[in-house]
Amino acid sequence: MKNRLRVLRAEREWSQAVLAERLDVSRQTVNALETGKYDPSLPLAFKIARLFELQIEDIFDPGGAV
Amino acid sequence: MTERDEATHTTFWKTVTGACGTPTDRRNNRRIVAWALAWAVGLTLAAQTLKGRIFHLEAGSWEAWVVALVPVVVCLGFIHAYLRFVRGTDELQRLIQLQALAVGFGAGVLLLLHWELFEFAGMPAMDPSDAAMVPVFAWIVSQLYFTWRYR
Repeated sequence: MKNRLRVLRAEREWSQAVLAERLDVSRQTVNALETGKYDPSLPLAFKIARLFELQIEDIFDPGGAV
Repeated sequence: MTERDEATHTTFWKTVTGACGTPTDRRNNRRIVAWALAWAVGLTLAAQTLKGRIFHLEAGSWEAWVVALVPVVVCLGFIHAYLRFVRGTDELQRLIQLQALAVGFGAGVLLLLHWELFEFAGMPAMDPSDAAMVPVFAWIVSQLYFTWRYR
């Protein structure tokens, strides 16, 4: 699944460690999400959407790989 | 080194040293390591005692049973600490653990069900304590592999 996580994080000038801390996940998880190696669960997707104040579909696109 | 390379490098070595993940993970990892060490020491001391190398205990006596059961209780503590880690970690780490446990369990079942066949085919007889290390080893190696895979 394609996502805009890396772009959104870069816009806010957050490191992966900062985003990981805000989402209460490991930095490895943030990296795996950004590289498309792992798709988040629905609760984590909602958490990410709330953090960036966006809709889930504004961040994640089920249309294709990264 | 790019951010991704750095993440891969640090995640791998932090996994090896048990320092990977969130602060909760690190706390729970320390508990797991402490229980694992206590288990290894308890198991070794109990085995040496029951073999009469430290002091003699009558087989079937209540003292011998207490010595035999102490590492079992410590092992339950290890399992509890591991469950606590799995419940407290994030969803990717849970997936990695699930996959690693599947490989470890599969390796154990494969060995148990097929070792007799291998012995008939010419493999040397295996000590049960050595056989128990196969799923543990498979579990540890799988953790490292799946951590690397989701780097």
